[in-house]
Amino acid sequence: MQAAVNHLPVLTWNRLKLNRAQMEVGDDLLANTKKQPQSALFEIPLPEGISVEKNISADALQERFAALGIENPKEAFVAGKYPIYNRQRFGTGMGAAVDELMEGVGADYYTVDPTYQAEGPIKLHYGYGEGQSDLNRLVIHAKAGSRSTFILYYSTLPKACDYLEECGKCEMQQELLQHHKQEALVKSEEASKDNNTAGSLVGVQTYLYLEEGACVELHVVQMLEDGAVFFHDIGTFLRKKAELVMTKLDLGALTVYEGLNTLQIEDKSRFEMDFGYLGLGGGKMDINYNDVFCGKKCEGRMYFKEALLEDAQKTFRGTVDFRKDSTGCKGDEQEDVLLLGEDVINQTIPLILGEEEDVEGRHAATIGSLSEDMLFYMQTRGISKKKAEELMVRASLQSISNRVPSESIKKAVKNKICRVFE
Amino acid sequence: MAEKLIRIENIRASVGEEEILKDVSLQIAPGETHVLMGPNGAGKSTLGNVLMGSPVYQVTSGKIFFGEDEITKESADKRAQRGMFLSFQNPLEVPGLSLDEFIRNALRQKTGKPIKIFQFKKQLAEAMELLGMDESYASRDLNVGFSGGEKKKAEILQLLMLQPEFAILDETDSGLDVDAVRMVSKGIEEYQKRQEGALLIITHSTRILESLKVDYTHIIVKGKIVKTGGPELVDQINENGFEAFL
Amino acid sequence: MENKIQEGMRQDPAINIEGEQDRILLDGVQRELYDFKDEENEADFYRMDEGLTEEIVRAISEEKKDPEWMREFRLKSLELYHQIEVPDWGPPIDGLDMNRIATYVRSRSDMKGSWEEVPEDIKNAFEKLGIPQAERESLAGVGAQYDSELVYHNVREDVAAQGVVYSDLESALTGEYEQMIRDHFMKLVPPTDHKFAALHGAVWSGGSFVYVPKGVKVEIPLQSYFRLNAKGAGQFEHTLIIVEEGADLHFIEGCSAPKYNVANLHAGCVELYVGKNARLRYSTIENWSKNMYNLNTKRAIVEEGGMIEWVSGSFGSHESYLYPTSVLKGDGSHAEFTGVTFAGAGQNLDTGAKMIHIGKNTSSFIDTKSICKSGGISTYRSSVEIRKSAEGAKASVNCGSLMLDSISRSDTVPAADVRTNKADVGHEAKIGRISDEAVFYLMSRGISEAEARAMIVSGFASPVSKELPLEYAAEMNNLIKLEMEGG
Repeated sequence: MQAAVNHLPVLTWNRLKLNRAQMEVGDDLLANTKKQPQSALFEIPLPEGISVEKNISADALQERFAALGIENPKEAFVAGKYPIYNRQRFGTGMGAAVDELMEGVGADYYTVDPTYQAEGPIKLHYGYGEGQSDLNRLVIHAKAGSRSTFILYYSTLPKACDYLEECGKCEMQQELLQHHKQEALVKSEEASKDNNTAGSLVGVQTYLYLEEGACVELHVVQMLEDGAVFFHDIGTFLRKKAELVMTKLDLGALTVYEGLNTLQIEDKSRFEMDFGYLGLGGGKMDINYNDVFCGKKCEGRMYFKEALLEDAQKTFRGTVDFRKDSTGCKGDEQEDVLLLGEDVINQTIPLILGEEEDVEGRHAATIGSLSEDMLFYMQTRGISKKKAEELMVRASLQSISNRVPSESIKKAVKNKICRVFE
Repeated sequence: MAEKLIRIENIRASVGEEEILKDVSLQIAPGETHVLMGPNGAGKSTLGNVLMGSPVYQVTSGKIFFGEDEITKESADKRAQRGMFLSFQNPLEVPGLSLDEFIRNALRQKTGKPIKIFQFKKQLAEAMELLGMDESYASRDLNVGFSGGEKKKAEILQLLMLQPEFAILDETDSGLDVDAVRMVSKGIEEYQKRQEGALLIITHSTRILESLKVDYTHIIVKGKIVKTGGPELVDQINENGFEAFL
Repeated sequence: MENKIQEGMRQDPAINIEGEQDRILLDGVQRELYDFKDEENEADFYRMDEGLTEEIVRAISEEKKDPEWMREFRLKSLELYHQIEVPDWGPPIDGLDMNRIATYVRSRSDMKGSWEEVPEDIKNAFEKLGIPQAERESLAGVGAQYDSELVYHNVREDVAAQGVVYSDLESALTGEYEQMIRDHFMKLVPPTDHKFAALHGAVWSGGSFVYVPKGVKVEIPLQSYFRLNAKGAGQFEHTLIIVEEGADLHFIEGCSAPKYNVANLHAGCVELYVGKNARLRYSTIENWSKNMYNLNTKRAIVEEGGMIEWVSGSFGSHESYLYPTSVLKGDGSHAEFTGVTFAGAGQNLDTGAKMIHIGKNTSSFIDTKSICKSGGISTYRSSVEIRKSAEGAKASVNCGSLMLDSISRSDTVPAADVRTNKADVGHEAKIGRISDEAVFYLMSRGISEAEARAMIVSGFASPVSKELPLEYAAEMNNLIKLEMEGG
């Protein structure tokens, strides 16, 4: 099937092929994925103050959103005539097509109580066997004044026989292993047995609802097997003084779609996003991130760091959208792309939409190979061009992974980059 | 006279249409410290950058030798691997790459061997102590959020760790307070002592030179070396400025 | 020329606003300067029926005594026009009904080579705009188009003696340059490009042909002025400029029209051929009236080491689609685009630039300012394409938007498509408002708030005014003041 996703909020020349992306998923693959919904989640028992309800249906989800006073319209996305996004309330970045794709997939609904104020992260590890596919939905509902940190980690598990050994090296997996030793082995083995020749698809839809004064840190790290298709469709809704700090790292999968729509619906909310992508040979990445300002005195910042190797392709759409009466808001967006491969294709379209005068918006992008200054600086320390490039890729991705509160993930990122440059 | 380590022969260099170095020659032997002084825009920093192979400048004629080998056209990393070093006036910032990781990588490129981590850490700690740098800087991102003084110290730290045979220090003392100058100059002294390293110190002030052994002083004006003398020239400049040479 | 501009800039009219003389200027600027309309005496004008049919296109072709190939070209373009869809991405053009646009209107008098012979009413119109004075003072040649045809064309003798050709396109079409025109006409902007390029191909009329031979440097600018006076009409002039190897030219175009309450259409086309190591500067101050649909296409192709500079001020029209394109074909070629757009009440101006890097070591530079006020909508739209062949390309985009109130709208839509890793592309966009502090600072020096704001806006637009000859910079600043007062 083909689904039009990642719509640009304001259209431009069709010739540039930036107005939307066509997500292609094999029909077999999709049918198989839907036939056997299986959660690959390994989780450690949740601490007091955080609860989860499993498998909430789409309709029930609608009702819950409605009860919270927000709409989640199913209507199709219409672009071209602005202001077009006004119709989308609790929308996601990839758009309504993902809802159709996700039909029948239940959501895990996490609730963070107002009393919850913990520093330590809630780690949700989605570990897949080779060739295993999965669609899942996740809602994080942070109650007023709560403070919480979540890590979503999507990875392909090593073959069962390697699993124990691998786990020995990894603190997060060690933790998981204590709880799931048997389960993990079985899952991994079975998943590998059930090898799907149509490739693997992991699709995730995430809703984040932050009540007044809630703070959520969310770290999403994706290191799926090289041939996988991954998409992550995110919608966030920030009430008054809510704070959402996100990091996002895509270091695996061959084809990736990323969409995010942040609605800073009430005053003084804050949104921060650091995004990293490493594009390898054959890799394709399609991004559509929107930060929509509706409240007053809100702040938003989205920084993207990408490195493209060999013939990797990347399309970036990023929008800072100041709605009427969003007075005193500040929106900032920056994209830095390192082009290292001979045959890379890099498309960038950063939008600033302004319906309000009293705002500050900025976007900057740098696209190119290693700057001459930086290269010379590195060279004067005896570092060759090739090594300097590696160091810069590592530096830019680590500057993001360093924010993830998990030593094992930091290490995994490091190892991944080392493997790439070996 | 000792074998020369660096020989610059009739170098001319320009940026675009503008010629900045107009026939500069200079020789430096192992262990010698040379000071290059001159008014703003005279070509001091250009000479340092040209010696190290900066792509910003085009060498239009002349030759540069390191020992026996001509290196005029070599890339900067090759020169560094031979044992040359340039400290930057404005070192670049690299978020995500820690100072110690950077130095370790540079050392590995130079030696071609894996670094013995324990020994490395010890050396690094010693050098940082000498420079009065807090050890936390080792794990901080390279130059990110460093003050001017800390950046310069981090450059001297790299000088001490990489142990080049010949180092060019480009305005290492500019913008530093008295304490920082003292620390930096202590680091340079250590470099002079420790391995008989040759030095070309580019500066327009004389503060950094007070505690250092200086063998030769060169005055550069409008892209030409107009005077070469001993350490006494430094004092002369200190008193009278560059007036006499313009 | 350079010196003259710089000298002039020391007395930036925006800075001197406090002076008595400028105050008069500020108060005295009237929209009527551009909005005056002379009722056309029907007997003096030939007007084609409204609408767009094969008969009409044939009639235009007949009227213009086209060569055979051109008639064919027009008819093919018409077919394309009917096939190609209206763009789905820009300002809505539902208000434009081609059945109500007269595609061809001309005075019954022929083009004149001497100003005195131009019919009185038309002459008056241009006199009010200051066109012939400007020629006497600082131009190497002038063309003036009134509705669909040129009414006046003149080039200074010393410039003509260097071999520079500056004429209307129609006479060039049948003269010694026919082949040259055939080789270049709508080759850069083919009628297949988009719907209004096809329309242009079908009904084009008027415009200029400029040919600057190898090595000739034209020291002072040439100018064309386009005036669309007829109601419910379209203007489709074609400007074709060929600057040969090592030559140098500055070309200025000005546009204006009186305001009617029916839609007018401007679908001009500009094709610029810049030879090896040649240099062309193309400056435009566009002040169409606010019932105009300005769907204009401008494109330049630059050979090795050549350079195109666009300087563009967009103030008028109801709706504009305008994105001058530079095709950097030759190695080491260079393009610059400096533009300012001011969208006031009832305006939806979609402007920007396109850069296409094909040759090695090509470079491009875009610097634009958008201002919107009183409900105006301004969209900055651009694309920078770096093809795989364009190794060593450098491109920089800098766009700023200034919103003067919150009933207006300002969007920034810049795209980059980079297909080689040996490129360096930088982009920076900002949106914001006039800082209260800056206004306060100026007011504390005794300047009224309105003037302080006008000064700040002029300052914001100064990257463009600095690039214009003094008279045009002054005109631009007047237009800004006018817009600041209006609404």
